[in-house]
Amino acid sequence: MLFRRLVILFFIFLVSPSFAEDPFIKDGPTHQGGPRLKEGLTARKGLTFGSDKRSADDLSLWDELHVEDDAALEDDISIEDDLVSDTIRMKGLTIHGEYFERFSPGSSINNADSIDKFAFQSYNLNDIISFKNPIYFKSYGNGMLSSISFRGTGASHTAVLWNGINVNQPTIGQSDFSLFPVLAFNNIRIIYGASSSKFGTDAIGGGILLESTADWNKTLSGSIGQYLGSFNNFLTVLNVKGKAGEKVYLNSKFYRRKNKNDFEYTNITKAGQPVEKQQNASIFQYGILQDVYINTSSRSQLAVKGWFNFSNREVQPTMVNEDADETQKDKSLRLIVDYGINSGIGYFELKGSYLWDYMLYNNASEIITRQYIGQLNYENSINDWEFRFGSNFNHIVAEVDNYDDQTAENRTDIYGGLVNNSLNRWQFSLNIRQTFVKGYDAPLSPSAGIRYSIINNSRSLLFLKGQAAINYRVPTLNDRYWVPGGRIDLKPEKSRNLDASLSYEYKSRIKFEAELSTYYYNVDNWILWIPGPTYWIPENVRKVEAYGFDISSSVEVPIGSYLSQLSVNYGYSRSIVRESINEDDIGLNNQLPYTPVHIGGLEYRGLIKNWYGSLSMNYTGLRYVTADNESDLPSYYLLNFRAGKNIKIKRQLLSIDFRINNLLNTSYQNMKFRAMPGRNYMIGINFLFDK
Amino acid sequence: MWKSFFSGLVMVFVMILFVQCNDDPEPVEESFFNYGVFIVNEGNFTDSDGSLSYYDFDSARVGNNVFETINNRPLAAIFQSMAFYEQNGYIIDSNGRIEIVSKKDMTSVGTISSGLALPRYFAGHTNYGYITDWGPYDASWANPDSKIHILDLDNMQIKESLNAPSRPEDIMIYNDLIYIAHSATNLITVYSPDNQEVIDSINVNNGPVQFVLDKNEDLWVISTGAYISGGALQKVDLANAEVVQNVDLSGISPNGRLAINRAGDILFFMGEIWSLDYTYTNNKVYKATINLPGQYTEIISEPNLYGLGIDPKRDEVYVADAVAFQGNGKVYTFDFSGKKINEYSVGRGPRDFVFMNK
Repeated sequence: MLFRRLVILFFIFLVSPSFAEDPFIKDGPTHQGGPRLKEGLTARKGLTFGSDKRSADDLSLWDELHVEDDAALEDDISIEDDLVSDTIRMKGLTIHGEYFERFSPGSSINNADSIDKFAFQSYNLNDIISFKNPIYFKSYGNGMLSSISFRGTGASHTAVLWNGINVNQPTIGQSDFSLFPVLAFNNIRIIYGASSSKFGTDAIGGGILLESTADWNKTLSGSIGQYLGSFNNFLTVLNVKGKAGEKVYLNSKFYRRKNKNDFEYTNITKAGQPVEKQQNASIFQYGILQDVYINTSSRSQLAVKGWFNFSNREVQPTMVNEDADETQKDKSLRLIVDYGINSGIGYFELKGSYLWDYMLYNNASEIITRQYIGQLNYENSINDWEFRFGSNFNHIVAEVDNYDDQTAENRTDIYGGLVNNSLNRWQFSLNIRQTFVKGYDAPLSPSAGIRYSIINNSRSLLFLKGQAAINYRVPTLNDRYWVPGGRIDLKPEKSRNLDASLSYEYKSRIKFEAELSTYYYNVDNWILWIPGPTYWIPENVRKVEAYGFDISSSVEVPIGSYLSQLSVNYGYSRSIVRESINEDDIGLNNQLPYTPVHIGGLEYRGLIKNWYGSLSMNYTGLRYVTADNESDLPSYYLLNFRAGKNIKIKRQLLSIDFRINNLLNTSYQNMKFRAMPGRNYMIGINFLFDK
Repeated sequence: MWKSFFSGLVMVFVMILFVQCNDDPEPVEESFFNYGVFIVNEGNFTDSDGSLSYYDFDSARVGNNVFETINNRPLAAIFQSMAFYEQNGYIIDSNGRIEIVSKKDMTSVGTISSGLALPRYFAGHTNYGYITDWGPYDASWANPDSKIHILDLDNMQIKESLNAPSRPEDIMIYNDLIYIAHSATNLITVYSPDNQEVIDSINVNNGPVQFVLDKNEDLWVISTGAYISGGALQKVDLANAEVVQNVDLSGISPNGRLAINRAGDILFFMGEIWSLDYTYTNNKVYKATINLPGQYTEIISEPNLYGLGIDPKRDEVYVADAVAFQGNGKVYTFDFSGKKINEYSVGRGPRDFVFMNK
C-alpha cells in the first residue's frame, strides 16, 4: 500500500516539468494588496498569526507551516502559505480575485485561518465553517448531505462560489457541503450578509467564496498525508505544486477517502434503547484538482482550474428505518479558464467555465446538469474611484428524469460596481446587478455600502460598517421544470437587507479582534413546496422576516515562547414567517424549522515550539422541527480536542496531528432521528516537502 | 401436505392451550384507556414523527405523545393505523414495523420489524393477526409486491406472507372470512383463515379503500376511482359476493374515508377538492342513509381534513385536521347535523380514530 503511494509520488515527480528559479523572490514578492490594504486589515478575519513581527524562533515550525504573508519569511519553507491571493503577480498589475472585498467595504468577512485549514484538512467544508462561525448546517447524518442555514435563511439562500463561479447545483439551488473537502481550497472566505449585487442569485444569507491560488515564490513543494479515523475512516491526500519555468505555475491535488462509517449509537426509538451499529452509511470519495497558471506576458495571465470530484455514498437511514439501503452517487467536473490582462485602458478579465454535475440516487434516477458560463469583467480606477462592470452568461442544460426531455435555461447577468476611497476615513461603494431569465422578472439588485474608520492607527483599528441591499434568488430548475408540480411562472424571491457592524482590531504583542454585526432582512415570495392534489407544488408562499446579530472575538497572548489563543463566536437569529398566501399557514409568526435561534462556539488554542493543542466547544441551540414550533430537537454542545506536532527534517516537515471529536461522548441529533457518532478519533500524518 | 398437516397439529396444540387458559381465567384488569378515543397521528412522511394521542371522555382532557410518555421513547413512526385484539394493541408503522402494546396500560410488549415493508392495517382472528402490506415501491412508484402477512400471535412471528393484489388497505373479519380492499385495483379479496388463501374476489369500482358493515350486514365500500373514473360508494351483498348498488361520487372526489353510525344505517364519507393554488384542500363530510345513499347531504366543510370517524356510543362525527402536515393537527367533533361540539389539538398529521367504549 505504502509502496504504491510512493510509486505514485515518484511518478508525479517524474512527469512534473523542471522547476526553475523564481525571479520574483529576488525582487521580493510583490505586495498583493489593492486599495483595501491601504486601509489596513479587513475586519472579521479569523485568527491570523505568523504574519508579523515575531521572530522566527518564536513559534518555530508552526509559523512556517501557517505563514500568511510570505514577505516576512521568504527564506523559510512555507508550505501551507496559501493565503497568498491569486494576484497576478506582476509589477503594475494589482488587479486580482479579491475584488469582492474591495467593492464591499460594508461587508463582514471571515477568512478561515491557515491552522484551522490544516487541522480540518481531513474534514469537509461544513465542519470548518461551523467551527469558527455561527452558521448552522443541517446534516442528514455523519458525512451525509449537509445544507447551510446562514443567518436564519434556508439552504438555497447562500451563494457558493468556486473561483468566482456559482457552484450551487442549479436543480436544487444549493450545495451539499459534505462534498467539499477542506483541502481542496486555498482560501475559504465567509461573507456575512446579502451580496446578490456582487454574486448574483442565492446570496441572501451570505456567500462562501472558495478559491485556489498560486504562490509564485515556490519552486517545488507539496505534501502527502494519510489520515486514519474511527469507524474505518481512511483519507489520503497529495499535493504537488510549484513553478515550471518562469511563466508557469502548477498545482495538483488529489484526495481519496474511504469511510465505513459504522459508528455506534443509542437507538432512542427502540425499546430498551439499544446501542446499535449504524448500517448503510459508508462513504467513498476521491477527487483531483489541477491548476495551471501561465504568465502569458508581463501584463496578462491565463489560469486554468479543474476539479473533479467523485462520491459514492450509502445514504444513512434514520434510526427508525435502519434497514433502508439507499445509495447516492455524485460526480462533478468543474473547469474554469480565466484570462486577465492589464491593458492601458484598464483591466479585462475573460472567464469561461464548464460545470457538470451528475447525481444518481438509488441507481434509479439520474440528475445531470451542464452549465456553460461565460463572464467578462472590466475594472479600472480613476483617481480615488474604482469601478468594475461585467456580465455573466449561463446556459444550463438539465437532463433529469422528472423534467420534460432536455430542459435548458439561459441566465444573463449584468452588473457594475463603484467604490470611492477619496476620503480619509470613509469608504463608499455602490453595486448593482440585474439578472435576466425568460419567464419572470428578476428584481434589480442594488447595494450601497459604507465603512468608516473611527480609529486607525498603528495598533488599533475600529471600523463602523453598513450596507443596504436588495437581493434575490431565482427559482431553481426543480421549482420550474419538475414533473409533476414545477411551475414556470414562479416569481424569484426578493429580499431587502440591512447590515451594520462594528469591528475592532488591536495588534501589538497581544492581539485582539472583535466584531459585532447585526442584520435585518425580509424575503418576499419565499418559495415553498406544498402538498398538492396528488403531488407537491412549489409556490411563492410566504414573507419571512429575520433579524439577529453575530459576535466573534479572539485574543492572542504570547508568554515567552508560548502562544495562547482564545476565540469565541455566537449568533442569534430569529427568522419568522410574517405573511402567507394561506391564511391558515401554521408557520405564521413562528421561527422557521431547523434554524436555531442560538448557535456558538469557543476555542482555546495553545502553541509552543512545534507543538499545538486545542480544546473547543460548539453549541447548537434548539431547533424546531415543524413550522408550528410544537416539536423540537434539544440543543447540544460538543467538546473536541486536537493536538499536533511538527518535526523538521532538514527542509522537510513531518506533521502529526491527533484529534478526539465529541470528547464527552454526547448522544445527540442534528436532525430528527439521524444518528451521530459518539466519541471518535482521528490521527493524521503529513509529510511536507520543499525543494 | 406435510405443511398443512403440521400447521393443523400446531393448531390443535394451540387450541388445547387456549382451552386450558380459559379454564383458568385471569382477573380482568380495567384499562385506564377504556373510555375515550385514541387518535392516530401519522406524522410527516420524511420525519417519522407519528404519535399517539388519547382523549378521555370522563375528564374531557387530551393527552399527546401517549406512547412516548408511557414507554420513554418516541413512537418514531409513520403511524398508519391502530387496532386492538384481545389484550393487545397493534400500532402499524408504515416504516415496516409493528409496535405491540398492552391494551391495559399501553406499555410496549414487543416489536415486529422484519418481514414488513409498508404495512397498513391489522385485524385479528383466532390466534392470528392479518396485516395488509403495500410492499415496497418500485421505480415508478407502484407497489407490485403487496402482501398479506399472517402473524402468529403466540410467538409474534410472521408465519406466512401471501402475495396480494396491489395496495391492500382496509381489512375486516366477518363470518370467519377475511375481506381486504386493494386500492390500486378494483378488487376486494376474500381470504379463508382456515387454509389461508384467496377463496373469492369481488369486483368493485377502481380504488377501494375502506368499508363498513351496515345493520343488514351488507358491506359498503368507498373507492377513490382511478385516473379517468371517479370515486364511488357501493353496496356489496356478501352472500353473493357482488355489488348490488352503485352511487357515483365523481362529483365530490371521495378521499377514501368512510364511517357508519351506531345503529348501522347512516354512512359518512369525505370529499376532497383542492384549492386553485393547491395550497390546501377543501374537504366536505357527507352523510347518507343506507336506504337512499344517492341522496347524500353535506354536513361539514373545512380545509385540510384528513381523518373521519364516528363515536359509536355517542353518535358524534370526528374529523381530523392535519393542517397540511406543517405542524400539529386538530380534532373536531360535530353532531350529525354538522354543528361543532368540540375541538382540541393533537399530534402531527391526525388520520384515524380508535374508540374505546367500556
